[in-house]
Amino acid sequence: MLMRFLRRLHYWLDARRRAADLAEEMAFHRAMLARRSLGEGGSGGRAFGNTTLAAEDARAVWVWRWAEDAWQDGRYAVRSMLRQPAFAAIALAIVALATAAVTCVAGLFDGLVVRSLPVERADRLVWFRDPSFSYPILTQVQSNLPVFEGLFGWTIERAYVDWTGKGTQLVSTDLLEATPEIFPTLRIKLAIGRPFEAQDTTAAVISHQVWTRHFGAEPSAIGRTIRVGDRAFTIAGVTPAGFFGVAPGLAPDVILPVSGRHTAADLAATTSAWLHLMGRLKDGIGIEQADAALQAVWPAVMASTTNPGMPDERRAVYMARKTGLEPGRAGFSRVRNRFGEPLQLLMGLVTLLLAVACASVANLLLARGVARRREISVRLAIGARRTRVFRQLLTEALVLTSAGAAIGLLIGSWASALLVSVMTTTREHLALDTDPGWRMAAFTVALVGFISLVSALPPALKVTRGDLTGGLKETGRPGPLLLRHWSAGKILVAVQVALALVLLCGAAVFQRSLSHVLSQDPGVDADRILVVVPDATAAGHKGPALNAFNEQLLDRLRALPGAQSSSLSWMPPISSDMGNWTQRITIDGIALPPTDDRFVYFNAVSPRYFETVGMALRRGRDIVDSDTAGAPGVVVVNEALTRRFFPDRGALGHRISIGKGASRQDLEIVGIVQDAKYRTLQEPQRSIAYLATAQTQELRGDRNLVAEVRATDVTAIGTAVRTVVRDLDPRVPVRIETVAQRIRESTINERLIAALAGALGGAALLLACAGLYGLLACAVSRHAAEIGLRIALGARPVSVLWMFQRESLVLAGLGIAAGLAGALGLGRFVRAMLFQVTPADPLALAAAVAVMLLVASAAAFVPARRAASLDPVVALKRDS
Amino acid sequence: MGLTNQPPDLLPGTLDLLILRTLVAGPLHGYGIAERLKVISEDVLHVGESSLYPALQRLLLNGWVKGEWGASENNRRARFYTLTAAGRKRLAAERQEFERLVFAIQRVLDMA
Repeated sequence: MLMRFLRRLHYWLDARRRAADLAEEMAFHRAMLARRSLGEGGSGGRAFGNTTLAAEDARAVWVWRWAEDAWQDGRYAVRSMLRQPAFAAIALAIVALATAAVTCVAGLFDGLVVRSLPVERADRLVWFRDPSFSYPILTQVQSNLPVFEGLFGWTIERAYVDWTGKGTQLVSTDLLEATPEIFPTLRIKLAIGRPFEAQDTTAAVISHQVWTRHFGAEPSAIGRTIRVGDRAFTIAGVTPAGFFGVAPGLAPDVILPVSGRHTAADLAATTSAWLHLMGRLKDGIGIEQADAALQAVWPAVMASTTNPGMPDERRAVYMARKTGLEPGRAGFSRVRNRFGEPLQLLMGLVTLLLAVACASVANLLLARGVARRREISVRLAIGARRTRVFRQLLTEALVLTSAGAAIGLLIGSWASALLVSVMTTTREHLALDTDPGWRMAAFTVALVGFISLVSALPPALKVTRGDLTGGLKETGRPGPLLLRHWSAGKILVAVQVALALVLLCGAAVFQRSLSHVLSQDPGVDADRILVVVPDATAAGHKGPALNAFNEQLLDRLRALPGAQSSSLSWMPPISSDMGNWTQRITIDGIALPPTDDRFVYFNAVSPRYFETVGMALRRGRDIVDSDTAGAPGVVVVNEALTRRFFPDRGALGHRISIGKGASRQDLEIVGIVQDAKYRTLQEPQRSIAYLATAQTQELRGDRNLVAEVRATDVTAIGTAVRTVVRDLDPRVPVRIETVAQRIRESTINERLIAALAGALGGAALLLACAGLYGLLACAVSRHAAEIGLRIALGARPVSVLWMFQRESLVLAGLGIAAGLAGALGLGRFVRAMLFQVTPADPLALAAAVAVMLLVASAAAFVPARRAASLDPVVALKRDS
Repeated sequence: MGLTNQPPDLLPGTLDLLILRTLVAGPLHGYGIAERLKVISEDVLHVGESSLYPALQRLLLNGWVKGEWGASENNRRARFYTLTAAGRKRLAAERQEFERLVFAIQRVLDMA
């Protein structure tokens, strides 16, 4: 069998020479025959029969018939497409568009959600639901749960790193902090060097990318010093190429031991849950079995990590925490949590677009097939088998879609990279491999098969099934006109309209949602405030030095010409990237039941903060310079807090307390300010209390403050501010952005979805109206004689125009009805992603329907007008 | 399809057998094979080009014969076919099968 195959292959590789050999051999045969028959006196020629057929039959021994046919069909398809370049170009463009959209989104989806971690036997990994735990919990689980081959804790944080080790070129970098078990658990085989051990507190393992980029991939990188913030680390090893950690979407450049930047006391704290837990199951242990074992030891783990001094109700809350195991094959990623849902939505939307594109291509092929009915009937009549013609039509579609998909794949991978760069903000550096690997290639091949089959099968069936005589007799005056019967083409157009309307409704609803988000009042002058985020602790400032740095910064900012007002605060407006500070409060010393929800958002601000950000003081006074550490504690609250806790009495003069025991602080309410958003635009109005920065230094410890600068020309002042920070300390990295930019970054998901849904809706609309136009244009040209006759008999142009418009509106109407039903049905899947809008928002749906109707009648108008202005004499002559 | 020159009374597959048998004596070119069959069968078996050459190609593909170019008796270039070891084995097997078949047919025809 194999030998036969090889000989056959050999023949193919040398087909031309083999054919020549055969021809020569047969020529010799004929010559010999001729000689003999001459000798015998007969006439030689007729004796050999059909020589071409004989040669064909001899050759056919070597080739697979189907392969030969497919090759012929393919060439024929290319030739016939080149003969109709407009048709081919449109069909190619449609397929390319749909493939690009699908592969673009599918590529991201694959990278973020589907793909396995690039480690050995990733299917044996599990992560702990919830998903953050304290270090003591990790060690307890490690020593009490024997189901794991390895278990480690990890977290990814953004920090400033200097690869030169001198501390002068700090760059913002993602770093993975992990316990040393990460290396054996993930079975990481380092490119060079060694992993860090439990006792190493200053060792670091850098990524392959950093090793190549900053150390020239030299083995001498091992042992070199890097700085992370103000600490020095020694490079111990380099991760293998392609390893990115355990969080798809993020690619940390360095792995540090958790003991590197955290003291033993930090690690021992049971109150901060900051580590994600991931483990590898022992061989032979299933995830259910491991989960059951975990549930059995969990209460003991929690009990052993409670603080002795914990009040009972806090203890009850702590003990009530639950966890469980989740499959860790694809890792665990906050980026996935953030973008996973929008990506799923986009997958749904591009699938709809793909369906519209399939219907469009099917329609085009159908129109072409109908136009070729005579040719096909002739071929059937002279003996071509139906299956053969059918196969040829399919091959043509396959050639078309493959070419289109190849273009689409290229555009799609480029668009994926573009989408990744759009999703990357200063807060989150998205690192995703958008290179279309073999998975995407396989996916595209499957997609091409799907598109060709779905779009080519119905037309091919229809065209080859028709009766012979009908096709042969056809003279361009087929079937009845318009609505009197339903053709496959009309159904396809109605389907296109329906699917396009679903996409349009989605686009409209998401646009409405976005405009609702953006119309939320942040409560501050977003365009006129510059937020300055200096990372002084990264440059080693601590304690009094840090305070001095902040004070000098504020002084110099206030001295800047052009800066109308400046301030310092813990949290800038729209703090979503910096977290939040919430605490339970006591009012006027009266303890409330623990069930009462008394959580309040806190910020600490310097004098003139409210003036700087543009928040109006409603009553009382601002934080002032005399509110120092030694002075009585004061607090300014917002109107929401006043409404919530002091609905019928003035809040001024009342006292609120935070903390317990020795750390308890009593604060007098001295002012009330207007409401402003705390973390995001979408959040409900929070109750916020503003403390004085000078009175919260102890609470704050060695954490950075941010500065706000109010100016009319924020761009000009931005450069000046950068100079100020550099003059103060050139080592301090700083980020400078307006509040408007912060709002844009915090609404990236909403804007991305609205933009992409709009683009997909627009594309679908375009395809649907092209389908409608094509159908009517085709009908007008094929029924020109009938229309001419009507006009000749006295039909007014207006009534002809209306006839076609009505046709278009009826089709569009049917599509719209189906589309609306679909949009309402699918609405529940997107409800959670909408802000202050329901999926059935009447205004959005009405807008979508209006656009569709408008475009449908516009698409019908051109062919309809051509019909109305037909010259009956010309039209009637054309066919006779 | 009715266009072949193969004698209608030739059983399917027998042509391959006959060709292989003619090659036992030594290499022959295509025309030579046809002539030999005709002469030996006393003008009963006329094998035309349209069945001879596909059959030869089939034998080449299966590796039962191999073709080599040489000079013919009148000094023209011609491809001479030689029986391979596999071809010999095949011939023996086919011949046995054929004889079994012929014997069986004979028995049916001879029944009382």
